[in-house]
Amino acid sequence: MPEVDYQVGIDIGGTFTDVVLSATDGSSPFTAKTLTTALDPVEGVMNGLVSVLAQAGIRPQNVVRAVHATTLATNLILEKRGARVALVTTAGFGDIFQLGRNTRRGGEIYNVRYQRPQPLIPREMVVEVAERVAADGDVLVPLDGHGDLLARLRSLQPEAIAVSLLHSYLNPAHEQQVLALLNREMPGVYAVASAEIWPEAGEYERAVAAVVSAYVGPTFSSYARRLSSELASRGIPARLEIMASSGGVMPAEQIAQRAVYSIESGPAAGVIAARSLGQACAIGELISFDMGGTTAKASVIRQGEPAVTHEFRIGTDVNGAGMAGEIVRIPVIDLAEVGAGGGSIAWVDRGGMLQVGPRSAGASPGPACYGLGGQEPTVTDADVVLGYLSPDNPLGGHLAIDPAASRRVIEDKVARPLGLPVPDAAQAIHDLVNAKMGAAIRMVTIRRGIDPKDYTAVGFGGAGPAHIARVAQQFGIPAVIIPPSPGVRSAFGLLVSDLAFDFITTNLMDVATADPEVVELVFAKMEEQGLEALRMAGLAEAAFRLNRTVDVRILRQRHAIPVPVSAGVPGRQVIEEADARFRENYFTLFGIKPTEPCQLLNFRVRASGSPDKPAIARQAPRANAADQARKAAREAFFADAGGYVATAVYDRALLRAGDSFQGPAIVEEGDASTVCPPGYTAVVDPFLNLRIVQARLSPTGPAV
Amino acid sequence: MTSPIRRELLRNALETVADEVGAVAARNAFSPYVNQRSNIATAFFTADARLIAQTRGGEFHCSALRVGLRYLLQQTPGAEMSEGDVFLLNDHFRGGIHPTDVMVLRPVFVDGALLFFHGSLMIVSDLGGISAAGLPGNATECFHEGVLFPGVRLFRAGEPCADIFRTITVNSRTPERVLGDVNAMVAAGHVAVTRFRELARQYGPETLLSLVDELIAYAERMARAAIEAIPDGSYQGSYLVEDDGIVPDKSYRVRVRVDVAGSDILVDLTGTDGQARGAVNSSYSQSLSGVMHALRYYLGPDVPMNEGLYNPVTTVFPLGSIVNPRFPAACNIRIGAVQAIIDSIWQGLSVVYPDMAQAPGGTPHSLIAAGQWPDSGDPWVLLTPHFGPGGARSTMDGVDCDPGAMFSGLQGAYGASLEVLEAEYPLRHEYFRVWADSGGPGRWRGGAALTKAVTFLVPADLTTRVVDRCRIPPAGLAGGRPGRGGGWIINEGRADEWRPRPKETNLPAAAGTTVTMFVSGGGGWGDPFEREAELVVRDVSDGFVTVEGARNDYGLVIDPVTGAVDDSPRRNRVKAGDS
Repeated sequence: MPEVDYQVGIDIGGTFTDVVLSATDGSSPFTAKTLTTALDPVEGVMNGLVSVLAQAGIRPQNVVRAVHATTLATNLILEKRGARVALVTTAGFGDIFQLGRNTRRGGEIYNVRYQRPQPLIPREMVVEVAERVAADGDVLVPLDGHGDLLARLRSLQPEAIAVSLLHSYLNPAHEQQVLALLNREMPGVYAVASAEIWPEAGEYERAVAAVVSAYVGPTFSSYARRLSSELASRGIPARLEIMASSGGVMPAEQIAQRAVYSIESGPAAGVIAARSLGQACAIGELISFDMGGTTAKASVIRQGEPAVTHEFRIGTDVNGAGMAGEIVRIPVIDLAEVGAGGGSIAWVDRGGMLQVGPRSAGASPGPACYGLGGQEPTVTDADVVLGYLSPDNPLGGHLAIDPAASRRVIEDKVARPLGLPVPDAAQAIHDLVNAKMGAAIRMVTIRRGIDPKDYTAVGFGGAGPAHIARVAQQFGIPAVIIPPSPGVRSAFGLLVSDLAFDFITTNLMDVATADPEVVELVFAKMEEQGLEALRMAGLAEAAFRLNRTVDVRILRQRHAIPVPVSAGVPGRQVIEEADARFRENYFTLFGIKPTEPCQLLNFRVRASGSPDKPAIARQAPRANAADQARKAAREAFFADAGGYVATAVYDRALLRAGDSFQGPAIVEEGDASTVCPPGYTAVVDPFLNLRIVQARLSPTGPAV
Repeated sequence: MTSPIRRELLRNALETVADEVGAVAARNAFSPYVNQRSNIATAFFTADARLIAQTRGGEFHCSALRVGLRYLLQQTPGAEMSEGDVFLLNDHFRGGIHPTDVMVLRPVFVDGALLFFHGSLMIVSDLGGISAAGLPGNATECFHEGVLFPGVRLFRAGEPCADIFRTITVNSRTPERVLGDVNAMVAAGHVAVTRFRELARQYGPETLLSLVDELIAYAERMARAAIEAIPDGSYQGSYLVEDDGIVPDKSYRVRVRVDVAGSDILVDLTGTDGQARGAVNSSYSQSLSGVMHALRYYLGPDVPMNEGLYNPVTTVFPLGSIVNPRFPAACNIRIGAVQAIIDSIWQGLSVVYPDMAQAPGGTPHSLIAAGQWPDSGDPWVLLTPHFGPGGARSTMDGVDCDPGAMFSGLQGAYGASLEVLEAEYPLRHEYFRVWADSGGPGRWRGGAALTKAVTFLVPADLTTRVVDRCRIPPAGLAGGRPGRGGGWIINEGRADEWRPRPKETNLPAAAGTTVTMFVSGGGGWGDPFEREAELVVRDVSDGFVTVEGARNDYGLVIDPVTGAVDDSPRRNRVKAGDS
């Protein structure tokens, strides 16, 4: 029997660690969901890995690619467990974190007991060094010697050091000198320079990126090393790769040097999974919607590519709830996050208004229906009362559901205070959380000048499949897709990811006077670095891709818009393209055609390459035999069908390509429950995705 | 679907739309005040000018939109408006704030019927007047602050009114920028109209209007319940505006009486001093924003901000006073008066809510500079505002380097990126620091402020504009000491060092001139000698208090190297007090 290569995706989330093992031919993948072992995440990973290897019955030697997404960096930040960091800044500018750029948001404005977040690092950990580079890159004050810099740093006993000097994005010489000194004189200490992480103008944001990298870097890199060696010791030959917030994957040892890049790694993997689904189904315009227990994330894929932004806040959501974090400027998939999910708690405020969240029952005590001590009604409880989740399909196979408990808490805490029947109260909770989910979608579509009606929504995560059709309905999105194994979909995304390296050069020039040769040089230098990084990662040259972007703005306006430009063309053409595309995009976004002269601000390059990925298995459609997968019928509540109606329940494991059925229907599988509302039709496509499509109004039947 | 649920869904939709519209305007703006952060007010109204919803940021401007729309409707009734009309209003005797705070108001028609209004307000780059950026410290009449537009059509039925655009252009030092700012608000208005039509389609116009009424009634119910909880009575407070920058050392007192009866509140400013010659007057709408801001802490910050919050509140702003001046008063430095209103209301209500009390904080300090680029001769205008921090609370310290009172939620103390400023203007920062010891000493310390030094590389006209609270710094309460009063130093540490007055306008400065700004710190709360030594030690290591400050203000001798504390000076003081 010929040896088959396998690839493994490992996604560590707050509650569960998901592991997916797939053969290169894409045939039936193996999945495992194990509890995340917070103290030592490697343990949870190994548990999952052992499970999938055993299921597949293969030898570890056959695993040729291992890609990983982890919340480790985010957790270190949120739990304040990072390294003791010292920061080296230009003399006179050591107080930037004391001064802070954070602003109060939402409810914080009128909170008389507001406490601002602690500065990123304590003031005593900041060391100023005499040097100064001007805004044109000239050296005003040379870094002559370094005085007592080393002595002062040593006395602080840092575990990591961030160096962030003024205007280093233009002239990194001083930062590099300090870094070289630290590497020579304090070799055991993890040290990073801001311009190496992300060389863009903005002293505060660059320092944040450097400090965050230093803060999570030592733990992150030792974790990556340990996981790598653990994989090796189990006989797995693959080099560990880790997904970056940009949706590209980097070799573990490289991302460990700029650990801030790993922050949104899990959510990015979900979007990459949605992109791959779109490629298989030949759908270029998708909304990726990932709804779990405590948060939901929405993102947009246009022409097959996820939208990437260059600014995000750590640990916040679109409603401004949650921790008001620092802004980090690195490439990140444009995700909008709302702090609401299956575990969000519903309550009635003192004015008699129903609210959902921001509090969540989390994994413990969890929704009331799990009987783990939860006494507050959650979104999951509402879904149980509505009949969308069933006691016969315990989630994850082990959490039994008690519908009576759900009904009781909804009656006590919502229905009675609002004077509503219990099912109506449950429907209200369901609708309201869907409205909140809508805010996330609105953020990444309408706010960006995108009409969601032209998009198909992909729903995954534990709670996504039960909500996505209704969420999409708010926007007039007619079709949604639920991939197989929606609960571990992000781990699949890892298997279909590309390696990618991002670069930026800030170089302000007016379009009218921009020098084409300078533009060519700027791009050439970054592209050379990118290709070198891909070669180092061991990829074949044939698989390399270069993407160029220029940030353009109207002369004297502050806000710039990144626009893509062609690679491999003369500088003059790049400048013209940038200018023309900017004007088009501006019109799309704001409805005004700018006539003013424009400026080029930043030049960006993404160098990416595709390793071998599992093929996407395809099943030949059979004549509709959905009835064979029908396992039961139960009452489920649909307000637009007049209340509780008999609803068919299908077993997803038994559905085959070509099967189809009408809503109302519910499809159950191990890790999720999909709702196909009345007026919708579900079809199983050749990739075993469930496609749920709103029936058009037809003369024969009123659809809603 | 039941109506309370639809109402809540609509509330979510309205807030999302208001924030979206605000973000669109801010992203397109040219004014340096605006385009770093969302410092813009945008609001929706019913056809009869009742507030439906507004942005969460820029709230301290929102009453202006409501009052301005009412003036506009008196002058141009809705029946005379057509679809695509857009109006411009900045007249602070007709709802405005001061000339460079410009409103763009427009009717929203749905199927031919005028159902709503939308308005945006933001500070524009320059509209003339005696100094760049429309914030002259030495203005004595509105004409010194810019051109007034009393509610004129900017667009008629969708067509730009070229006359008005030309008028704006010739009256600005930075015509392109100011047009860009106005266009940003127009663009935001387009988005608002689209979204409202979508909502009207989704709900049906009649249902939408009745849900809006319900939402307003809901907010009123919440607000009235909160007022009921305040014991009936008359609560008084007062605070000073230090001077108007024109008449030396003459200060102005704002007096407020808050009468609570059942579920109604009367805020009466009768007894407030007469209007000033200088620009420290606050227009009617600006004073109203101050009152609503102060009350909102007590009426429930989570109540949706709409007409329902205004309904239980009655206000009296005596005409001809510093809080409602007569034509042609100048008003651009009004924030001192507005913060005085807020501090007075808080002071009054602290009797019933002692745990919500807080000491007064600093006001905005702005370094404004203008000049020409040496190579092109093109003008440049720089405006860098830094908002003052709040005072200490009765239960905890003030928030360091975080804008107090009505500016909370706006940009932090930091302001614009230093590297970006240096790349775009002919200047260099010498330092950018916490101003140690600026927070008023107390059992709870007032918020600390910042100091920065900027050198101009070319000749410039400098306006050192401090709103208020330098000479008479933010007061301490309950035995706390005042914050340290800020100010300016030119060429600090050089032979030609000098200190301009806090409201100096258009000082000619040679290339190489260094300007140092000190922002006033917030007032303290309670006896500083009762502050826990541990907190003082932490303040010293955080750089908010110096070793000298610890000794002089808190009676603690701290060894700067070891951090060891000797509190004998404190004991000495107590003994001295005993004897």
